[in-house]
Amino acid sequence: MWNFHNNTPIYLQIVDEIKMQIISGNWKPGEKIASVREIAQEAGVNPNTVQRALSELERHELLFAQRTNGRFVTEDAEMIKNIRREVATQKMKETLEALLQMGYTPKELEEIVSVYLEDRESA
Amino acid sequence: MQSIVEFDNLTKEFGKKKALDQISLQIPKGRIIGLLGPNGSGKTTMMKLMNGLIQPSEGEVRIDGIKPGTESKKIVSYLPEKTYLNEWMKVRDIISFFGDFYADFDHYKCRELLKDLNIDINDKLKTMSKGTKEKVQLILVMSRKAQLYLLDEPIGGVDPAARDYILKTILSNYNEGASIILSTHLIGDVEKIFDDVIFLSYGTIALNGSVDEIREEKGKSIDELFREVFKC
Amino acid sequence: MLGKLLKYELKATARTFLPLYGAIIILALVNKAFLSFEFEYGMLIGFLTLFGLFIALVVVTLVLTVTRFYKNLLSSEGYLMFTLPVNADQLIWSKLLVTLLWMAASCAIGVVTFVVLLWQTSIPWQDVLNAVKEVFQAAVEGNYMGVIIQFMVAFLLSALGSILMIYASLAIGQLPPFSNNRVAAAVVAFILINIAVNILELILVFGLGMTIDTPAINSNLGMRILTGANILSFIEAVAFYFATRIILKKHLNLA
Repeated sequence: MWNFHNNTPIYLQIVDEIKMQIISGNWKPGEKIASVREIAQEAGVNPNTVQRALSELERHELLFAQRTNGRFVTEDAEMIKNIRREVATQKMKETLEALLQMGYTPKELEEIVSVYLEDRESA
Repeated sequence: MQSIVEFDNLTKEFGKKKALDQISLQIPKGRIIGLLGPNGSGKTTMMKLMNGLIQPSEGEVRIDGIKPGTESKKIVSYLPEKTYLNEWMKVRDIISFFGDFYADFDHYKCRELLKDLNIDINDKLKTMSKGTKEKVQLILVMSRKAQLYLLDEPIGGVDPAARDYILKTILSNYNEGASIILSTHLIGDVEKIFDDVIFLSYGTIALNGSVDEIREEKGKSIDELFREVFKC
Repeated sequence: MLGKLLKYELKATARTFLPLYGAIIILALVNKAFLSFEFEYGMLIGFLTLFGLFIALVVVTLVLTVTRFYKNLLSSEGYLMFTLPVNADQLIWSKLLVTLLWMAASCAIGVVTFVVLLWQTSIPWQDVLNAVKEVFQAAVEGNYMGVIIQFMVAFLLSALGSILMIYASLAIGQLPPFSNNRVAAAVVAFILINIAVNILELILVFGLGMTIDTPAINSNLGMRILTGANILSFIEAVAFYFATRIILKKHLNLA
């Protein structure tokens, strides 16, 4: 789960990774998350960095803190869904733009996607 | 006292050579700091000044507001680069020794950590490999609930798996609210645990800043930045 | 903290001295047996061995004085000892006191051996002791208890002085200019200090000699000389102590 590059801020990478965990449903809405120390230990990073990442996620309201109880994943299913869509859209955008640049037509791309997903289903 | 360490216009000379030249800096509590620099840049000298093994030529260094001495040594846990334990001692004797002299020593934690590594406390240090000896020393140092941990090249000369273990041990066992100053050459492996880094060059501070800020501003890893700054 | 240092110093050195003491006592008893049975061949070997063991004791004491200080404080173990929450004084005193303890113990063992060997032999002890006492009193004009004390003090100060002179030499030998030749530098320092101290003592003795009154007027000449010598020894010991102390506090130069 935790694989870091050293050339971008680690706390941002943690933010991204947790975002992924939330939108993929691994961290369920309303679920209590692990403590700063636990996450830091698992990820092999500085607790301060984790703290910063969690604060950032709180700011985006993906997490909320209940004073002494700890931190929880947001229960706002709508928000999670939106972010899910955003992430997928962003990733698609990157891939599609690159392919379109190479000369693929939208129709071609749609076909490739369908075929790929069908094959995957039947496998 | 918000800083655990303060260097105040500190200069250290060895004969004619200036190992450290007018160093001024503050190290806040609760941070993990990487002390980086080429050989001879003054890293070990800085560490020795902080734990009272050597005295400044000019200026001052203060640990939690006081000059290094008996009182500061109670709250500073130091891991030198070399084996500094009597090789004829058994591990259990060394544990007693640490427990005797350091009020903040956690016997239980120490034994647990040693058990995790399958180190028999009845073994003499002499019978252990270099790598194991180093781990024993690290465990002893990290088993203290100190305010400042000074780790001089804790991962040099050790295989990658052992490096991971060492970093994990450092991260999971240091006293919350304490600061760690870690000097190393092997930046790539370690940089993700730093809050801040200090680059030391010919006895002066070439750079001192937050690690994530550096990454954001320069879009580089600390390792890459280091190679740039210290290009031969 | 000093107590703890003493404890560890004792532990580290006991493993050398106790077996030696054990061997000596056993040998003394064995020799006593040989003596009783007049087993001459055994007595010859036995006494030579016993004598050898005592020589060994002296040598071991000297060697251990040097090596304990050097190894534990000035080699890589120094990184441990000087980062403990103790000061240089405590470190020096822990080693000094333990060495003195072993010296005293060695003397005691010597006395015990002597007594064991000569127990229940046909020597009139009471008469011998009285004779010694008389000779003593004659030589020192009545104050023989004082003289005994002076001698004991002299013995103690001499031991202290020697040990501290060794410590000071080792401390000097590890100073920065000698980083690459610590042992050699320490040896040279020791020799030079020895020479310097001897010259100093000679000067003082001759200088004072000029001012001492003629014996007839001074009825306690013996005492005054002894006191003077002791004061000198004391000053030397103090000087060596402070030299060692200041070097360890301010000029520690671990490898």
